[in-house]
Amino acid sequence: MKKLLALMMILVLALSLAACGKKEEEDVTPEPEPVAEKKILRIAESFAYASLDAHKDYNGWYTSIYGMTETLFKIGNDLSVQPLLATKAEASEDGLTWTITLNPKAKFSNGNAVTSDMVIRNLQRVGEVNDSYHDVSEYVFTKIDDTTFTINTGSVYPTLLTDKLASSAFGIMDLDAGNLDNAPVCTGPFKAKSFEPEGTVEVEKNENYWNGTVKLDGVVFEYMSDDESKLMAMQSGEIDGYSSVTAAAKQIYESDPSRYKVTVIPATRLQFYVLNKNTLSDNVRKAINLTVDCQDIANYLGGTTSAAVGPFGASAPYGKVTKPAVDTAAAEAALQADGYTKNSDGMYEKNGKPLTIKVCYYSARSLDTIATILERQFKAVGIGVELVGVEDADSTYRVTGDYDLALYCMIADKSGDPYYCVNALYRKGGDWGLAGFPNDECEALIDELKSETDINRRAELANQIVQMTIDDNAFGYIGLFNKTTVSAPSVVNIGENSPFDFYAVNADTDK
Amino acid sequence: MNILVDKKPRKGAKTRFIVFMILAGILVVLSVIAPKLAPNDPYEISSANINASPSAQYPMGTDRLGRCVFSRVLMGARTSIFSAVALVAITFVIGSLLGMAAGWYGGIVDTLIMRFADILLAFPQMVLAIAVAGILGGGMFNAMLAMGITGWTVYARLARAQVLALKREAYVDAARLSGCSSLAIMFRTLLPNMLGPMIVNASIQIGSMMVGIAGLSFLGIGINEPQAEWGSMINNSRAYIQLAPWAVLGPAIATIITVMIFNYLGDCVRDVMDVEAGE
Repeated sequence: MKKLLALMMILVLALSLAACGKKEEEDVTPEPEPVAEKKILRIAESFAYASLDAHKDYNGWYTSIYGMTETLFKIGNDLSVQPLLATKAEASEDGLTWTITLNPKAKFSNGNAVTSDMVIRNLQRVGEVNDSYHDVSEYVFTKIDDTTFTINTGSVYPTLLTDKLASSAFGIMDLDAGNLDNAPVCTGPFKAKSFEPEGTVEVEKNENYWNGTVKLDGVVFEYMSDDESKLMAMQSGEIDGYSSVTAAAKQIYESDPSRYKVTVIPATRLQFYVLNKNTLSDNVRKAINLTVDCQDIANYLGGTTSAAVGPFGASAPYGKVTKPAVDTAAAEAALQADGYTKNSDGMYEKNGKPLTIKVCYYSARSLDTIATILERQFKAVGIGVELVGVEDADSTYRVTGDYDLALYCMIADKSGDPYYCVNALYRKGGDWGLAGFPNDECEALIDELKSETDINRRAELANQIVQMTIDDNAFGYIGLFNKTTVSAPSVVNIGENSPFDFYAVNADTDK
Repeated sequence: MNILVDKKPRKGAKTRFIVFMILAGILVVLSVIAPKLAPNDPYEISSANINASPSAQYPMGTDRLGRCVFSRVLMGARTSIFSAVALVAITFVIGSLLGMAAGWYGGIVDTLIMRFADILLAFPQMVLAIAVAGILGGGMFNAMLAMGITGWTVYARLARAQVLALKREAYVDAARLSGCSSLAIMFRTLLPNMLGPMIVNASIQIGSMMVGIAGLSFLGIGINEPQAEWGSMINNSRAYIQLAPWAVLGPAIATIITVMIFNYLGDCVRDVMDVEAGE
């Protein structure tokens, strides 16, 4: 019986093997033709939004980065206004009406032409849905023909192109097609492939792109808010590049040029402080400004910033201002002139009360590091410091005015013009109005700047205004962030040469 | 016989207790005399010495601002150890008093105190501490307050349980019949009898409080720069871990060693107490 069973098992095994052999013969098929690997670029982004609707909130900044939306004009690497979807813009003699001519070749990714009607509807929609641009809803738009229309701004507005038409919030979308939140139809070199709200965004080549041939097949924008994660992802090859590289990561990348390409260019994000005129005397403010060593701070920040004189880069025509050199002896003399004397600890005091200034900061854009350095620089001349770190400046010291020195960071030059920064910083009732700087003379100059059409005169006015803030020791300008981008050596055109963060991939981006 | 407690004397319990007591004592002394021992000013920055590797001048190297890591670790010991010990002491006193009151008086007092403790215990301690510290802002006091909000509940529950067990004892009845007031009975009669387990618990808590405060500082919502504190030092140097690992390892190793010593000390206190209870 056992022998019979063994024989049966051998037969079953033999049949199984035979069956396997037969199957193998049947499965032999010619090898498939090799498929060309798609060129997909992977980029890390620090922020992610819940919608791709370019007109709402700050989404337009990101749809521009993703290469999906384009604007009528764009700001070049040299800060000049350049045509994009529009070929030209002409202002009327009275400066109230602009005539915009669209590029007849411009079309959406679905093949529809970009017409005056659609552009006017887009601009009007931004005025309706975006709180920052409500003034646009008061403009009068008139269609001339399919590629020409006029905008009447109601008052002279020389910076319409830079402030509005080249702003990423004014990205043009086909409002009659697609889902504006998840897959808007736009004119850019890439179109949405998959969108995870507040997560990863994947775009693919726009086969109908009107302005050249798109070199990449697609781009994946990985959401990574943590700097160390980005560093490790770059080292492991998970991503091909990103911008806003930290000082530590920059040093690591620069030590291995065969694997990483690091590009550093001057940019427009400003680190500055406001001195509260309501709590600090003229001499104390003067002493503070004479003490702060911006070059020393830039050294600590490892090449991520450059020492600033004013809010704008020195190469810009509106960046021609001067400030006194660091002079701690003169700083101490200013304090002594104010009645302060040094106590046994080497710190200044008046009427038995030590001089201590309250420095408020938040932990971003290296402001916490700057606060620590300032504390040491002030202590060296005998000024005590109380450091107050907060999570969010916009809901604390900026709105309460409870500080002696407030550290802050903002993009000073959004569009190659000084008005945005000047208006935000120095206006009465502006962001820092509580610090007591605004004065009538400055206000009059800002009003003049608002409507001045001559570029040279605009620069002159801006220089005058900024110099006033320096001479009055109302502000201190510490550093201008450099834009630092890292990528694999073969990657090109990911916005590494643009000083603006809202330009990244384009048709010429390649890897 | 209490079946829950092994009352056999553990071998060498007292020896271990003495060893860890000495080690903890050394740490406390080191932290007290840290300013004298520090080879450099722990707050002095130097752009010429950024991320310098360990040397004779800087035994643990320097950090991203050129500060001496060893000096900052020494100064950080003072912050970390004293804040943890002070916090345990404060929560111990508050928790014990509330727990004793709840156990002794019972009724509405018991319900109010213990249900409030239950509410606080419903949240994980660290999550609640992060929320509180986030609302209050940075600083040592706020970090200690954030950790202390839930820290007292452990002692309150223990004290209450002890009082409930002890208040049926004959000597308590005797004290009551002899006309002693409630406060007198609680502090003169009950407290000495329940102090042992309470101290054991407190000594075990020192290590976890230290980790908690360092954790808040690591997250940026505890003790802030420029004050030297181990958690905040690790946080501020972690971006440079590939370039200057010493700036992270220094405070990290100090934290591990200190927490281990205090945890072992707590265990030894428990063992010694068990031995004494057994005897």
